[in-house]
Amino acid sequence: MSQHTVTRYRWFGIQAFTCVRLALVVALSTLGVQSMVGAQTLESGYHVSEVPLGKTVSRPALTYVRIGNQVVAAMIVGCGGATPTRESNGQARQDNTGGRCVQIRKISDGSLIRSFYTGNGLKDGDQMLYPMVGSPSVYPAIGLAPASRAYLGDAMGRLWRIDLRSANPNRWEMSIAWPMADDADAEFYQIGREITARPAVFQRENGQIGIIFGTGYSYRAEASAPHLFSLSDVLTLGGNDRLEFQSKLVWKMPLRQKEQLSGEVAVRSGGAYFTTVETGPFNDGSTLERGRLYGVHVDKTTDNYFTTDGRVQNVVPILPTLVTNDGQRVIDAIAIRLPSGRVAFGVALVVSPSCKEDEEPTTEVILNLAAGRGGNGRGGGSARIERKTGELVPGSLDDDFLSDGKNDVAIKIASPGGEDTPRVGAAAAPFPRRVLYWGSSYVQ
Amino acid sequence: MKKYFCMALLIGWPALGTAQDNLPPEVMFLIDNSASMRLAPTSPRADRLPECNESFVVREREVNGVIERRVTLSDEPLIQTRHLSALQMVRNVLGGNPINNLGDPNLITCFRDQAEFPRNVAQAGYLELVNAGRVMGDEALAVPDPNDAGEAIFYRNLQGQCFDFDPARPDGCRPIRLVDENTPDLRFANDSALERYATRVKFGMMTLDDDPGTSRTWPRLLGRNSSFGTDEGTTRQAVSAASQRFPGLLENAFIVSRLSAPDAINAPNFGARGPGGGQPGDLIASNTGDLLNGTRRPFEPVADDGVSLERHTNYIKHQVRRLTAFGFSPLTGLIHDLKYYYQTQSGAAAERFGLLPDLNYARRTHVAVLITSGGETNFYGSRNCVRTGFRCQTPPSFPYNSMQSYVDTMRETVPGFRFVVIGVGLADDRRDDLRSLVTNDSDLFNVSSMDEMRNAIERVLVSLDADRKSKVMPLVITPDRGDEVNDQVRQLRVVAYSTLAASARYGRIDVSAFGCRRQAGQPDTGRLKLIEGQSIDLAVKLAQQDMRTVVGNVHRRPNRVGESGFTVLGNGNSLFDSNGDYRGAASLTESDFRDVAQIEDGAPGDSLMEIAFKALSGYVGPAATPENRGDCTPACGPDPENVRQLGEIIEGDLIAVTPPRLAVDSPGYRRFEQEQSERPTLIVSGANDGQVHFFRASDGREVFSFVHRRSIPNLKHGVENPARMGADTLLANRDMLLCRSVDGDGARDCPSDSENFVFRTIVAGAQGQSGRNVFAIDITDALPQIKENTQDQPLAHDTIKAWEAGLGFQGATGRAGQ
Repeated sequence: MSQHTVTRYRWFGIQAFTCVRLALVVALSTLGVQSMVGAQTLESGYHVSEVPLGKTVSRPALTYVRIGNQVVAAMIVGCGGATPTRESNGQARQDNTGGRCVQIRKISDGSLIRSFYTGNGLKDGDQMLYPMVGSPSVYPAIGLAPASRAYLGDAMGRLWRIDLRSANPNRWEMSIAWPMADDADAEFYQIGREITARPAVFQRENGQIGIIFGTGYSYRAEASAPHLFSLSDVLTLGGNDRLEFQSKLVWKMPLRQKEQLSGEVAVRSGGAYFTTVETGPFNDGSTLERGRLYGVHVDKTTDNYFTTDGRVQNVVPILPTLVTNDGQRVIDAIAIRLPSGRVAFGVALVVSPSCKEDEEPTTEVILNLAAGRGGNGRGGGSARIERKTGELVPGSLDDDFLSDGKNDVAIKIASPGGEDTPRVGAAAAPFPRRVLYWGSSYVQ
Repeated sequence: MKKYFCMALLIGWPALGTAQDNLPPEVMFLIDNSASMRLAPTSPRADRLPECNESFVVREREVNGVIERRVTLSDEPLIQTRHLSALQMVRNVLGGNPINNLGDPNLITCFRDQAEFPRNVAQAGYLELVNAGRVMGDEALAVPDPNDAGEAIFYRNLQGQCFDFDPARPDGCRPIRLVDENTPDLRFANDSALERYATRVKFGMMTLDDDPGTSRTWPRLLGRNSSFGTDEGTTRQAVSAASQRFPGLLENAFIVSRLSAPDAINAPNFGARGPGGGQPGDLIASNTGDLLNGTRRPFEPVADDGVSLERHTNYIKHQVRRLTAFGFSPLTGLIHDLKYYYQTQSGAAAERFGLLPDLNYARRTHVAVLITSGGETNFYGSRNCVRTGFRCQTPPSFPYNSMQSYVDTMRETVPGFRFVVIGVGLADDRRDDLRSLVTNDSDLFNVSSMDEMRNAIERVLVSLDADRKSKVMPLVITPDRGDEVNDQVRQLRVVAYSTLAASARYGRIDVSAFGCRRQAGQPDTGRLKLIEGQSIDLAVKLAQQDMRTVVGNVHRRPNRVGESGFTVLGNGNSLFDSNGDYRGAASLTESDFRDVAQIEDGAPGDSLMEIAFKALSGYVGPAATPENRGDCTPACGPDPENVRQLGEIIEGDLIAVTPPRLAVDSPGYRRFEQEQSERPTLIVSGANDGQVHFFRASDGREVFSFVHRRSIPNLKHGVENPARMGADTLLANRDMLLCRSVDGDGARDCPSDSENFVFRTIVAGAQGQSGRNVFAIDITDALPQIKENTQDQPLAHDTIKAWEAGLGFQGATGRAGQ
């Protein structure tokens, strides 16, 4: 049995498009913007990304951008990855394979304002060879001001910067903020671990813009161990008397080989708070994942010190004085190790009012502990304290172990005498006076 | 029995520890790759071989204003079929669908009669050898038992099986492979059913060895179809003894001995193919073999970490794609060899086959999944019975014990053992035979399509996960003016996760209310405490809700009339009425909707449209059917026949849409702020039911949901498998000034005068792991639907505006995004 179907060729359309493109190139050249030939922007009259989306795992950033004399609501998004396979995220591809791009779209109708990919808008010959799986952060992020810059990571562990200062989208450009080329600080760094979480972008005490981000899943055996990095991105006078961004490493914090950042880094009052997940098996035979909540100072560093597993650190813990159930005070805690098998993916920082009239509100950390295996929090293990050296403090925080409702558990970490002990600078660490971890109990 | 009990004490009890362990479970696929897997369960042909249809494609192009028509370049018909063979289903479901120019994995190309095998095309990975009769000639097909039409047997060395068969050198036959080592992985879509579990499960694969070799042949025949496992009843005496019970056995044995390998009579070791050099069909232990940058490394040890497991899974996928169907079905031997395989993993068996023991064997869960399309070959008589026309009188499994006995043994001795059968078009009697092998009826599937097979495999894999999973950041909400909550409530703390119900995964969102509550006898710490009776499970609320409102958006209106936005379900002019009948809209007739949803034209109210309606309604997965009247998970609702479910949430997000809180002083903003000041706070979350859900935080009502355009084609899968529709996604939201001019008078849609500023409430997101799409939704005008006292107002088609960027969308400017 034969069937007849009809398919129309679209040759005419293809030829027409090519003509438009050629005309555009000529027009741009005539206007003296040869350096931008190939840039596809709203201003240029056509804006079709030659690189398709991958699996879109990037959280869009909602922001404003300047286009001529207009400030337009826009979305910035990484194009994703896993094209064609997740493993291919670790493969350098020069053929503009899906996911190796960043798009900026108008919120009003979704039209493409600007797309960045290899050969289009990348500075100094940078190449976007790996999928842009990271979620972008913008600065400034509040109010109605247009963003001057945005940051997001790729699957290979490079942090990209988008320079949005110009009112002409043709002049926006992307460059690699980390690892820094020709910089001794970055020499140790072997790319290979993806940066997926939205970087924390904040203003430092000295006014500089800071960025904290971490690396996770590895696509390469030779990749550096997972790290947290704190950068400052400053404007310096570059070639042609132009102010250009230049990043500087403030600190680097190596994690354990099988420990990865989970979720986003939250910055509040000079502290960076983040969670990690470490996979086993461990020396004690356990294979349960280990979750940690860290608190480190965003600016300050100290002399190098070694951890018990041989890492060299210079970060300054910012957790308050913690007290174990047997009364031991720990003043150099860098992390709270969650009950074995309980893991968290990011934190929520919240100011909770006090139920006492004469007491000030308290900043709290909330974790979702719905996932994981092992003890369910009430009867299956307890939270532990880790010193900055990685040493696990004997005892637990059971005395303050609180349980509310059907699904949540909480731990209250009270400071002795009801006061936080100042440990950073002259002022008392404002955060946290209380840490809650909370979520749904796990039932095997 | 006593022996088994003792072994269980030694080995089985530690398996209980598995529940507290985080070891990746092992899933061993036992794939029947005999000739009967070449049959298509849906084929109308009497022999059930795939039926191919011929069609001509007439193409048109415009040349100088004249339409030129012509048939395809070769002027030859396309020969295609939708009747996929059982093994093709296995290849596609486990290995990923070939990326072909047909755009439909269920449509594959057949060969023309007498056509030369287009090897270069086969290497590309998208051509199927579907119609054996056409390709090989009907003489290649032998049906040994007229009463068993489902059993087609090919002999390996028949002409049709070989790419380059030379009668003078029959042993030089190279089996036809649909794909080979040169086929790049990128020819296949990243949609294997194993994909989501690639870094969390240790997969293995066993296929059939129908060559009566011996275990002694390994490793001499390494990489050449060697046998695996020990022999059972292997001596001539055993055969003699058996002949007392089975008349005619010796005659058969004589035939075998004369015509087949000398070892056949003494050591007829059938069952599983042995581990080898990475040839198709070789046994792949769960801890050996990987694929690194396209290179097969069959002996590479595999650890339990995600990177190693993913490479190993890629190896499995690669090898599955290379399987072809031929030969007999010694299934009992296969199960016998599975038992032996577990012994090698435990370290109890001699390492004669080079397998590495699993150091965590006792703590690991072990699942075996048998995929088969038909009965078992009466194998001891084997191919010679077929060739000579002798009828073999021995039991099908001889000389092995019964399949049941092996499964029972493994159930008692293998840690965390579970046996699952996925039949492909099984006849009723065969299905009944296999049912006895599984513990629960839910472990026996009988599938007839790729979708059903995928659902079955995913159901098995989902059940291996921890019962609660979540990577969702918590959300804390401070109630605002529009939130009608108890006076005590100061905070709502929200977490999302997914949990198992009826062996499928669903989403849960807990909203816990915290406030100032004095506990009798407790000192007042000032700390916020949980307020009893004020906490909500949004999934429960959704199940109990009387009606839901679903909105969507099409960007390429099929008939270019009407509006692009539409209401799918709910009050007003929704596409479906409450009974599931399609009412349609100007922009989306039933035919248009079928086009968008990729549902072929059929009678109004046909089953696929009903399925789409059920998926949109949230009646998805096994837990959508009440176990008994009044017994529902998570809660019963107004429909006694269906339970509305929330799709799984693992990777996604929780965001809160609050009333405007911008610190902006402008007339335009003040107007916006005033209009929206009593807007109830919304909790927004994507879920893998294909929708982004908007819940009112104060009482948990879902005020509406948004179905992705990209998810609509997946609706037809959703009722069976709630994880297939995809929208477990990252989100962002912000009240935004769409455009302002910074100098001059500005344009009408981009004013410079702050009096005319237009603020909108935007929710945006990406589609996550399930697709390629980003979208934005403007919910500013949905205020009546969000507020409790006006929530039942009909939703106009343009109340909620949206765009999606992964669809070749033509933006309002007329310029194309991509």
